[in-house]
Formats: sequence, C-alpha cells, structure tokens
Amino acid sequence: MAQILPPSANLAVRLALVGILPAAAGLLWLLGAMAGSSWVTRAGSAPAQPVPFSHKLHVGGLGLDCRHCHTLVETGAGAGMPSTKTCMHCHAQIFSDAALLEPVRAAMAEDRSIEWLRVADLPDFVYFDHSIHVRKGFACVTCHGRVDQMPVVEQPVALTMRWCLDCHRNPERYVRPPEQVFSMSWEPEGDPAAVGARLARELGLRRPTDCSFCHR
Amino acid sequence: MKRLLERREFILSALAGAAACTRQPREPIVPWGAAPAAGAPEEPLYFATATPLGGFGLGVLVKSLAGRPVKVEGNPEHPASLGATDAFAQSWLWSLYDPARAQTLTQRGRPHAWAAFTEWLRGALKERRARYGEGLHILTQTVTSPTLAWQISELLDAFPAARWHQYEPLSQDPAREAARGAFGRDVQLIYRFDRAECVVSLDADFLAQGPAAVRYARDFMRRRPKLMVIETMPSPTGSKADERRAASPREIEAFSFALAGHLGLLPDAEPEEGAAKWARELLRHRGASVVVAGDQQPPSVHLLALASNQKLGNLGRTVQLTEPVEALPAIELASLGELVRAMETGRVEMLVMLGGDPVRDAPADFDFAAHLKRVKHRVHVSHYFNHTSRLADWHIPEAHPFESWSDIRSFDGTVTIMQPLIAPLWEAKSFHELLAAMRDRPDASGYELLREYWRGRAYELFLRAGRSLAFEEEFEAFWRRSLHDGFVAGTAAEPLAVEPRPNLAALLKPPRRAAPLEIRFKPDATIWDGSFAGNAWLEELPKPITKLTWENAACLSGATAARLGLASGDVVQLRLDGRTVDAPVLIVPGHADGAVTLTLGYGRQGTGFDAGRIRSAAGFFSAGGLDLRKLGRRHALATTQEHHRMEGRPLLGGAKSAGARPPADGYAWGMVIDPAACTGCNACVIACVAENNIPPVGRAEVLRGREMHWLRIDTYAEGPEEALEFVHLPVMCLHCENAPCEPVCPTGATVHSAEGLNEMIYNRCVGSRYCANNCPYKVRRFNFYQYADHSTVVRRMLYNPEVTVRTRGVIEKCTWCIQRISAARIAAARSGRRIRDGEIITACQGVCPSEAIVFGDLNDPDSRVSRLLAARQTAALLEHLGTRPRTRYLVRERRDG
Amino acid sequence: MAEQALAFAPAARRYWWAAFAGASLLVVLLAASVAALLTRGLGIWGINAPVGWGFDIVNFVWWIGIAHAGTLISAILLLLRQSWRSGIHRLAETMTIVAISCAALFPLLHLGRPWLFYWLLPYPNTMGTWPQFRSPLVWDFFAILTYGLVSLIFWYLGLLPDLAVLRDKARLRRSRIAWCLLALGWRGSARQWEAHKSACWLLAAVATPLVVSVHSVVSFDFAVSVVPGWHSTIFPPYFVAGAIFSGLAMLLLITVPLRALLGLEACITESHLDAMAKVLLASGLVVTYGYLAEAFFAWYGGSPYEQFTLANRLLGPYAPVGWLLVAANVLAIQALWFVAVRRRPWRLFVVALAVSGGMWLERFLIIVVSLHRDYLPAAWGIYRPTFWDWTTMLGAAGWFAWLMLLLARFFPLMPTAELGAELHPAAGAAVDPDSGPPRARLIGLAAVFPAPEQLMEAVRRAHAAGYQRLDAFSPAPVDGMREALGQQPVRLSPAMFVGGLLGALGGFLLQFWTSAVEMPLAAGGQPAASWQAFVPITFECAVLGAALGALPALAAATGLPQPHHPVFDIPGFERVSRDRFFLLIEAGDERFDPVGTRDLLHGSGAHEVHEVYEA
Repeated sequence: MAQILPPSANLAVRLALVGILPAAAGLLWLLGAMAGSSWVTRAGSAPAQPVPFSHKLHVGGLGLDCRHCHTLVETGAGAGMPSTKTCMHCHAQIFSDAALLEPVRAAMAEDRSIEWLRVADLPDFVYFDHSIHVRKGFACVTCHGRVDQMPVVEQPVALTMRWCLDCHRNPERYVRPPEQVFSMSWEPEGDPAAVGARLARELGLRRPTDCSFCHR
Repeated sequence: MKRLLERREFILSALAGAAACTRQPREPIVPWGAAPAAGAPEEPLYFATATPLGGFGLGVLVKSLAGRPVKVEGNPEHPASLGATDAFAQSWLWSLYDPARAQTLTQRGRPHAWAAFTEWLRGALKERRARYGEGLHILTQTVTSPTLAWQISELLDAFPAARWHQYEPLSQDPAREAARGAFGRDVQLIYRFDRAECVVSLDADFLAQGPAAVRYARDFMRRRPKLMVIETMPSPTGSKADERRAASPREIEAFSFALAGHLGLLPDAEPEEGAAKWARELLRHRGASVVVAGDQQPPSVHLLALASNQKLGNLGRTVQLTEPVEALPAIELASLGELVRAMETGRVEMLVMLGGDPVRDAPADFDFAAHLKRVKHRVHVSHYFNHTSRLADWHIPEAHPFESWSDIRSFDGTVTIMQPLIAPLWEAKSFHELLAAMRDRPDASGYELLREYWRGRAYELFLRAGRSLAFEEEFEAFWRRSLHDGFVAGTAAEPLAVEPRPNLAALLKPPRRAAPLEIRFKPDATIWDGSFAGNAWLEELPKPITKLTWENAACLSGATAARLGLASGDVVQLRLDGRTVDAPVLIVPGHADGAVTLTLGYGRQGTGFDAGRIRSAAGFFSAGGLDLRKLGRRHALATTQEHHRMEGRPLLGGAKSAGARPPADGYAWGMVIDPAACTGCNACVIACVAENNIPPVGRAEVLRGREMHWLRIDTYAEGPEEALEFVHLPVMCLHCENAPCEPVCPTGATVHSAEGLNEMIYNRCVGSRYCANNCPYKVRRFNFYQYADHSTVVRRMLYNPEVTVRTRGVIEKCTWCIQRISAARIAAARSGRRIRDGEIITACQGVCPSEAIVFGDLNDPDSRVSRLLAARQTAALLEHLGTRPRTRYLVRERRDG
Repeated sequence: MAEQALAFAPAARRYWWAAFAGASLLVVLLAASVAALLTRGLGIWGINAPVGWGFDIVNFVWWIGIAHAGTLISAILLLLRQSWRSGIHRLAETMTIVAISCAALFPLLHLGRPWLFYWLLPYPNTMGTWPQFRSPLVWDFFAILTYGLVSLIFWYLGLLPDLAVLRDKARLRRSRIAWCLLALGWRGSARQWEAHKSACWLLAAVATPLVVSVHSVVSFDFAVSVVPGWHSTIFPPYFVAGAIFSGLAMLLLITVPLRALLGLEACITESHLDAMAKVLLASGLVVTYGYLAEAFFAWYGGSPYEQFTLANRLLGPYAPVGWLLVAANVLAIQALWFVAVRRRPWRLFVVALAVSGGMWLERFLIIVVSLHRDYLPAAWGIYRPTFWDWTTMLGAAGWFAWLMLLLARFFPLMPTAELGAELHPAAGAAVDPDSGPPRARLIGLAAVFPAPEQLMEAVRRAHAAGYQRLDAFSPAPVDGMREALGQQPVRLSPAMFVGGLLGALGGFLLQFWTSAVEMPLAAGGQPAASWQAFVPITFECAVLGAALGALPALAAATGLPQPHHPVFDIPGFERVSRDRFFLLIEAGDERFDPVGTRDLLHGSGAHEVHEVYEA
C-alpha cells in the first residue's frame, strides 16, 4: 500500500484541528465588535446639517446657555429644538445677510421647518426624559460631550444600553450639583468619589434599574 | 410631531438588534417654525367637547398630543359623564383616523369642489324658492343641537312650504307617545337612581344603553338599590339584578299589567305571583323606588310604568319630569312615514339628508330606497359613503365631531359646545355649514355660525340679567368658560310641574297574548344601530354576556333551541310576515324562552346579517308570529368566551394565601376591582385599547382565539337557568408578587419592578410564549402576525406616542398604564414630592361609569386602594396558587332579603 | 460479509433511490414551510391563547425523545457488556445525531422572532444583558447542545476504525484522500485500540447520566410550570422512560426495513430484535406505570383542576387522542410478551409503528390538551392544527429520512471492525511481491500474519527475545496484546475529570455572576442567587467539559491525527483494517539487526517480512 498523503499532511491536519477553536472564537468576537463599533452606534460621527451651526462659536465663544435654544430641557422629555424664530431673534440683526444663514431666512420666509439630523438618537422603544435627568444633577456634557468645543456637533459616546446602565447603577460617579448641570467645565473639588457620594445622598438618588423606567 | 410619529416604529431597531451589523438610519428633527405657547410637544393638552349618541351628547375631555387627539376621557364636570365614558365615546378616535371615511365631495361618484356643489345648490333652491320651498324636504336624525335647530327654523322661515323630518332607527317614540298620552304634551323623564331604594326594570338596560347610561350607572352603583329586572335578552342591567326574570316581549307587557294590578292600578288585572312580590317590594319603598320601562317597550308599558311611578309617589322624587331635550320632539316613525308617503306621491323634489342611512335602516315595509329613487334632487351628508349615499346624487363627507364646530345637548339638556381638535383630515363639511350654504352663505365656517347663534342666546340671558354694558366682554368670557368647562352653565332642561291624567292604566287596551315565537329587535351593544359598523375598536369588543365579536346572531334560550332542535352555530332562516333573513343561532344563558333577539346594524361590512330586512314599522321593536326554519348550514361564531360556567371552581378566594406584601419604601402599586359594580359595559376594554395601542385583529383571528385585548371581562352565569346569577370579572394582568410568567422567560423580558409591577419588555422578547402558557390567568397576548398597522400614515396618527407599538412575534399584556405611572413619577420627582393618591388613573379606571376599579399606592395608608383593602374583604383570583396578585377583587357583600 | 453493510445490491439501490426522492420532496416541503413561517409569522400555525405551544413543541419533545435510544443502546448496553448491542449500536447512534438535528429545529422555529435566538446564549453584548438562567428553556438549550456534541464525539469515535476500512477499500483517489482525512490516519495499532476502547468506555460512562438528564430537563419545561397536567414531580423519570420507549420504537422502524433491504440478517439476528423488543416492552411498562401514577395523583391529590385535566384528557374534545394513546402505548405492546412477535421483524415493525405514533400523541396530550382548558373556564380555547403545522411536521420527518438515507448509503452503519473481530480470516491470500519504495532510512521490519493468534505468538517471542520497541497492528482489538507488548495502560480519566470540573465551575459561576451580581433581575419572587435553578446547566456543562477533556488526552495517547505514517508503505498494509495482522520491530531497538530480526519473524510464522523505510 502506498501513502495516500505526504508527511506534511500530519502537521497540516493537526494545525487545522487546533486552529478551529480560535478561528470560531475570533469570528464571534468580530460580530460582537461590529455591534459595538462606532460605525453601528454612530459614536463620534457628525452628520452634515442643513445649516453649519457651530456650538463651538455659540456656546464656547459667545457663552450661550444650553437653555437659550433647548428651552424644554427642564420641563420636557425632549430637550426641545430651537424654532426658526429663535435663530432669527439674533440673526435678524447679527449677520443678517450672511450666506450661511440663507436656509434659515428662507425657512422663516416660507414658514417651514429646518430639517436637522438627529445626532443623539435612541431606539424608539427607549423612553428618555431630559427634565428628570437635569433635575437630578446629570449634566448635558455627560452624554453630549463638550459641545462648546465642537464646530460641528457630534455624538461623543455610543448610546448603548450597557452605557446607560453604567450610570444608572453608579449614579454617584456622574452626578453634579444641579446648578452645575449646564456648565461645560465643572470639576468636583476634592475627592470625586466623596463628592459624588454626598451629592447622591443630598439628591436622594436611587439606582433606577427597573426595565420599565426606560422601556414601556 | 414627526419625531413622535417616528418614535412608534421599532421594527427597524428590533432588526438592528437582530443582525448586529445593521444600524439605525439617521432620523430627522423637525422643529417649529415659530413655537406655540403650548410648550413641549410631549405635554398633553385636554380639550372639552362632546361625543354624540342617538342625537344626545356625552361630555368628554380629549387628550391632544403634538396636535393630534389620541385619547378620550370623561369630563368630570359634565352631568352626563362625571368623568366616565361609554364605549362609543372612545370609539370616535378610531373613526377620526379611519381612511375608510368619505374623503371627497362627489356627484354620482365624480369628485367635485365645495364651490361647484354650492353653485348647483343655489340654482336648485332658486326653483324651490319660487314656490315657497314646495317639494323641499329635509331629513335629519334626532336633533338636539340648538344651533342646528335655529338654522333649520330659519330655513323653514325662508321656505315655509318645506318640510323637516327626523328619523332614528332607535327612536324614543314609545316613551314619547306615552308621555303625550299621559300629559298631553312632550315630557322628558329623568331617573334619579341616586335617590332610589328599589328599582324595577321592564326590559330597560339603563345601566349600559343609551345616552344617559353613564350617569345612571354612576348614580346606581353609588347607591346600590335593590334591582329587579324582567327582560328578554340578558343585558348588563339584568346581570346586576337581585331578582331577574326572563320573559318574551309580550310576557313582559302582560307582566307590566299584572304589576300595575298588584299596585292597585288595575282592579281587573289577573294576579301573578312574581309581580305581586315585586309590587310589595315597590310599595315598601314609596317615593324611593323607580319603575323603568325600556326604550323599545310599547307605549302601553311606558304608560303603566308612569302610572306605577305616580301611584308610588316617585314623580318629582326619583323620577323627574322636564321639558324635552330635542329641538323638535317627534314621533319619528310617523315623521319618516310622512316623508315616504310624500315621495310615493312624487311631491318630494329635493331631499336633503343630514346623516343617517335611511335606505338601510328604515322599516322594510317603507321600501325607502325605491321611493327615494323618484326624488329629483337627492343630497346626503354622512361620515361614510353608505347605502343612502349610493342613491344620492350629491354626497358630502360629514366632518368628524373632533374636526368641526357644533353643539349638542346631553340627556338632561345640558348643552356642550363641541370644539374641533384637528383640522379636517379630508375635505368635509358640518351640517351647520351645509345649512348655511342653503341660506346662500356657502363660505360661513362652523365657528362663525356657532358664535352667531350663541351671541344671540347670550344676549338674551344678558338682557334678562338686566345689564346693558360691555356685552362683548361678557360674551367672550361666557364663550371661553363654556368651551373650557365643556358645557354651557344653566342649560339643563327645565323641570316641569305637570301631573299625568288620572287612572292612566284604564286607558289601555288589554295586553296582546303571547305568540308561540316572538322576535325582539335590540340596539347592538357595540355598533348601536349600525352607525358604528366597521369601527374595528367597537366591532372587536366582546358583546356583554354573549362575548360575540364582529357579527350578530339570532339569540335564543337553551330550552327554545332544544325545542327547535337547534345548536349554536346552526344557520336558520327567520321569516316574519313574508320577509326573510338567514342568521346563525346563538344559545344565550338566561334568554327568555319562546323568543328570538336580533341586534340591529349588521350585514353592512359583510359581517353578520341585516336584521332590518325583517323589521317593519308594525313590528319595529318586537313582533309575534316569527317563523324559523333550520337550513342545515353551520356558521362559526367569533366569540371570545365559549364557556360560561365556573365548573364549581372557587375562582375568587379559595385557599387563603398571604396577600401582596409591598416593599417597605418607595411606591407599591396595587389595584382593587369590585366585580359587584361591573356591568360588563366594555368601556374599560376599549379605553385600554385606545390608551395602549392595542391593535384589532379581525374576525378570522378572533375565531382562532387570538384577540389582543389586555383587559377582558369574563362573564359567568351560575345557578339554574331560571335563576341565573351573572358574574362579571374584569381580568387583566394581575401583577403577581410571585409571577409564574417571570422565571420561565429565557431572556428576562418579563421581570418584576421594585414598585411591584410585572414588567413586559417588548424589545427583549424573542416570543417563546412560555410566559403565556404559564400564566394561570391567561392575560398575556402574542403578536402572531404584524397586527399593528405601521404603514397607513393616518392610522399611525392614532397611536399613543407614550406607548411602544408592538411588532410581530412578541408578547404583550397589561402594564397598569406604565406610561401614566412614569409621567406622574417624573412630574413628582421634578418638584421633589411624592405622587399623590389619584394622580395616576389607569385608562380602565378612568372611564369606568360604575367606579369598579381603584388603583393606587399600597405604601400610602391613606390611598383609596389601601383604605379599601383595609375596610373590605378582598380575594385574589385563584388565591390558592400563591401567586399573590397585586390586583385583588372585592368579595361581594350579599344583600339580605 | 462485513462489507455487506456498505454495499448496496442493485435492487436495494433502486429502493434507495425511490426513498431518497420521496425524502427530498419532503425536505423541500420543510424549506417552504420555514420560508412561510419567517415571512408571515407564527400565525400560520394553529396556536393561539390559551394554547401557546402546539405541534412545534410536540414535535420537539418527540424527536428529542427518539434521540435517546441511540446513546442508550451504545452507552448503557456497552456498560452492561451486552454483546448484542454491536449489531445495531452504530445505527442507533446515527439515528441519535439525526434526530437531534430534527429536534433542535423546533425550539428555534417556535420563537416569535427566531432571528434573535442567540439571546438565549450567554455572551457579553452592548445591552449588558444575559439570559434568564432560571428558565427551563435556557436549560434545554444547554442540555441539547451538550447532548448533541457528546453524541457526535461518541459516534465519530466509534466510527474511526470503520473509516479506516473505507479508506483502505476505496478505489478513487479523491475518496481515498477524503476517507484518509476522516479516519485521521487510524492504523489499528495496539496502542490505538487500547485508547479507543477506554475512550468509548469512559464516554459511555458520562453519556449515560447525560441521557437521563437531557430528557429530565425537557420534562422540566412542563414540570416547573403551574399548568394543571404539567406541574408534576413524576415527569422526569416518566419522560426518560418515554424517551427510551419512543427511541427504541423508531430504531426498530429503521432497522427492520434496512435489515431486509441489505440482507443484514446475519449481523442483526432475530436475537437482536428479540432483545430490543424486550427492552421496548420493559420501557413501555414503565411508561404505563407513569400514566397510572399520574392519574392516581390527579385523583388522590384532590385538586379540582388536576382532576378536571385528567377527565378532560379522556372525555374532553380531544378524547380520541387519549384513547388512541392508551391503545398504542399500553395495549399494543402487550403483544411483545410473545416470541412469535418479538422474533418476527414485520410484526415487531407494526408494534413499533404503533408506539411511535402513540408517543407522539402522548406529547400532544400533555402539551395541547393540558393548555386548552386550564384554570379559568372563561379563558378556555381549542387548538386546530393548520396546513403549515402538518407540512412542518412532515418536513422534519423528511429531513430525518433524508439524512438517514444518505448516511446509510455512504457511511458504515454496521461497525465493520467489531463484527470483523468476531470472524476468522480467509487463509492467506497471495500478497503482491516486495516492490519496496526507493531506499531511505530503515525504520524497522514488519511481519504479516494471517491470524491474531500467530501475531500474538510472534509478539510473545519477540518480547521474550528482549525486544522493547515493538508495535502490533490488527483489524480489531486483540485481547492481552498490550500486556504482551509490555505497554503502559492508557489513562484518559484524569483529563476528563479536570474537564468536567472546569465545566461545572465555569457553568455555575457564569450563572451565579450574571444572575446575582452583574444583572440581578427579580423574577417570580425568587432570590437573585437561586442556586437550585442553576443545577441543571451546571451539570450539563460538567458533562460537556468531561467529554471535551477526553479529546486532547485521546490525541496524545494515539498520536492521531496522523494521516501519514511509514507503516502505510508496507505492501498489503491496506488489509490491516480487514484480515491481516502486522508486527513491527523498530530499527531503533538496540537488539535490532536486519538479519537476526528477520529470521526471528520468519521463525514465528510470518507470511512475509517487509523492510519499512522512512518515506
């Protein structure tokens, strides 16, 4: 009887068998990685808006308060997008003829809405309420990042459930004094852990991990 | 608004979860051009208005979110509502967003502009004017709207020879005839069950049927007088009776005579044991008793009831006499008869029909359709393009109550100014606008017309008050207040101090003898006279007692069925003086022997059969001499409950287990239900449907046992057939402390919250249905198909944005209106306080006319629910299973004697 | 004769093609049903509220039950040293693998959103969620996974020598390569036989409790619920017995026709059938006892709901199912008391048919008939299977037949080697003269013997002569060979123990950490760390760990896979898998000298002696 396979076959077969496991593992890891990848979550991506509005200029530069435009953030579920009128309040006087603002003026003239693209987007089965987070001392920056440094606004972190849970399980790590919520650059003086613990106590924070708090 | 629409679709995101590498598309944000004062689009606004039923109004508050009406609640200050509604009021939302509504003005099917129609109208009326309106006839349904009445009267002033007819297939004719017979004038009867000790109902379903039912149920259940009912078909009212008798229509008539006899009104009436017993009961409560005659009983029964109440000294106490509420009370059958005769003799040249579907629901012997064809000009206004519309040469889509201005009176006369919540979705006109067009004001808006009329009314009051200054301000204030409150103060019907003629009963000819097989025509519990036919929310409501959906049946008793060799589902041919209709038979526990009950309004959308085909003017509500022939065909009836016996099972209570044990701190939600108060009227079921985006599934799916209702009303009929005791058990998710559904879920999609809710997380559900199998109460529902309509835009407007719309393949169930709890929790937390008792009203609780449902915090000792649990004996459903439900049922306290 | 298992006579081929065509049609039907299901939704089935599970889970339980006979026969009968097992165990194991593939189909399809099935797997994800380990469905998942893998390993291990046979018989080059790879280079050395035997033995030892556990877990789906007719403590033993019962029945359904078709009467004798029939009868009696016990508890327990469920099974709308079931599972098997039935294949076939059907009905009775009328009379309903219910069921059966036919045609369904071992070799056939390969380094001398006795004799002599580096090759294990060669025994158990321990620890810690630490969810008022609920999965993981642990140890002991080996150059070595016995004395042995050793071998009656060179 002659050999069916050359000697090299032995090594090949063995490697193949041993290799199967890491290969499978790698494939699964890849899938998982994709699910969490910024391509899927759109973390760090900044969509092109109809009007090149610069938070860097308005917040960082002019020091406008978030609430100046996002008027409903303390009372509503949504933060509230500024109406065309709000823009024109100022821009009727300032840069009233800037080319960049043409879409705004047009919208005003034709009394139609400016269609912005949502940057921080949650799935439709997640019910998020801005007002209560703001009231309980959770800052805009915590989720939306330093918009005062963003010429074009982007979503800095991936809004995954695991990410939400991290804060819902350990609110003391992220809480601030409610009056500092709209500050872009607040740093706890002293030991952050201690400050957080104290604030959590003062604000009577719980660890809201009931599913129905966000899913109905 | 756009955003709120988008919010509801989570198929995409669900799939995104599925294939890890699909991602959500970018969604747009569409801000206001100029923000309104209203505030956040998520903040609900409530507008007071009214919903019509048979011409009468029910005051409601309509919740508007992001500019869309999404929920109907009762108006607590309105005398007919007191905060509750009936099923019909809820259903108007479905029809508002119903793409099947008539959408364009048409002339014989060809679309036209309003202007084109008014042009034609001017011409057509010019001819008439020459002859003082000779040949111009107007057909309306019962009219209580003051503005409409004023417009009609103005029109009749302009066209003196024109005629106005009114017709409802479910008219108040018998009562009206009786009143005219007794008082020689029109008188309205209003019952005060809140003052009664003892009530006898002569086939009157006053707890669940008609424009006063909501108020009556509230009054009755607060007082809980002793109730004795004689009826043909078991009704919600009958199901609450302490003593109930089943009797055929003519037996009921005979019984009324006997009762009157024992009350000493008819010396020569032959005695009857049961009647004597009830009479004694009534006499024991002189002045605090009520004898109610059903709307569909013959005038004689109404007269006897009236006489009995007079004899018992109830008039003015428990039975109040007031001015009629209708603008022009009429014996409507006669009124329609005149029109038909006029058409027959060709004297009608132009017929304007405001609403209704006379071609379909006029008495069969009137042959309305044939006569209508002989009329030269036929104009019809209606919500849907119905059978009458087909025969009209002009059809004008009728504006929906939620998209147009109008006014209407409730059963007690109180006027509500109906305000629109949304601009007409399609080209539609209100009756007011049409009548204005007939007076050469084609462009007058409903708003102007109403203001015009009410300015006049207000001015009278203003002058009567002897003031002369600043009327405009006063009027604006009056207008705003009336709109805000949802009713015009001081418009209730004037009480009358009239005495009926003495010895009324004597006027009567003796009762007709019972026929071997009688027939009874009833309003349908879910589609009324058929005007709600096709409204999926109503169609899919299980009718009280029978639990039939989407269709009607020939209802009869087991004994009668046995006698005729029939079983439920057998198709029979019903023959009544020459006319026939084929109908499936349904055996109903507690139905009278020797009689068949048909409900009206079906056979339009293809489901059910049209009882109207054998309904003649002579036998308008009941008749004898029915002939019934078995056809040998079978028909599957779409009922949601096949079995009506408890099988000797101790459903409530049984082995005691420790009750719910709420955690020490935080909120602990709990619910108490009083089965004794529940009439099975279905208001809660449809309210739940509306609040929680529960999709209708259609007849075929109901037949497969796949109805989606989160809240169902189980009805059991216990005891021997002649003394049946009905029990209504509203069953929704009971939120067990030890919920069997939770540990079996493989993905943790249903778990327990710290506040004691059994949570259902749709987006985590993979649909193993294990939880549903393991729920001993079978309250979990599964989306076997994509039931929720994601594609039809106008349908999507119907969805409550605060509740996820479920996708195919997931389980859903009662959440105790978690969205309302969350809203309250957030509002409270925002202002740093606890949620107050009564701040959270679940959808079912809010609309319940008899206040059978109470929801609240078990950790708050002063909450209504805690106090009830402390004060009353309660039991859990299947207590012995140790599931420890948070929802408990009050144990009925038996009335002795 | 052994070859018959693999060679289809022309007549048989025609039957095979007919059957295969039919099965293929059904597979297409299955595909269509699944497509309809995925596009339109579960609504195409007859399920509803209250009957949330219908044919889907009925079929699942039925198939998983069938899957039990295989391991039962291989493992338990092996442990019990039942020699009659050899005729049919391969068939049974194959049936197991295929039946599992059918069973696994249904839990997947029965999900409302099957594309999310992987949410039952514990894996870190962006939602930070984990499976709910208290759910019997998750236990099922692990049980079936473990059972499938272990059965596969067990099956493949038993298959190795027979794959070698195929390799050596194959004519076409590509099939030779294919078989060569599949056989992993099996060469029937004493050491390999030793490891093979002990591996089979140990795997049987872990597989036996596994079989019991798997169907117990399946029975938990019902036993842990509150549904009357489900909530019963006797379910686990009762289900296991039922599984064996239905599995044996199915095995007979396959064996009898195949036996006739391929003329295997010699391998699968009437005494085989007789033995199977006896076990069938025995398990049937246990099942019957289960029925009686259930009825007794229902009556004696005094719960009106349980009593009603019992009555409803025999008098309700589904009464015919109840009575048919009794007729099939209780009455029909009584025929097996008679030799005239046990030893007549086709009579046996009829009984088996009745039992298979009866067991399916039993599952229908338990699942559907219990659900359709449970606690609240108002919520009662009725279940009517739809067109798609039937097609899915038939389709699955088709899939089963399709795979079985393919394997029957192309795989050794008869354990050739074992059977071969019972035979005596044909007297020395002529062997092609020594046409050695090009000279290279000498590895040793190989002697060819016609019979095991001569081989053994030669080994003894060589050993006596002081040779140390010997190896013997044979078509089947030869008793006492290891001792004769003076080799150490093979020890797999330590590795399996470690594997099992790791599996158990890993399984338990995973459940504990996710359920009690990482994401505690309140379910059914149970504590977060409800360890009792974690036992089933812990056990399954232990078994899986042990089975997987055996593999590396096995590889180490046998040096497999090794498709290339010098001995394959020995002329006529292809007959080592059939009727030739080889002894190799390595050149490395210090006593080795080309002439003396050759004489020794010739002296001990070798047919030929060949030099073996490094290729």
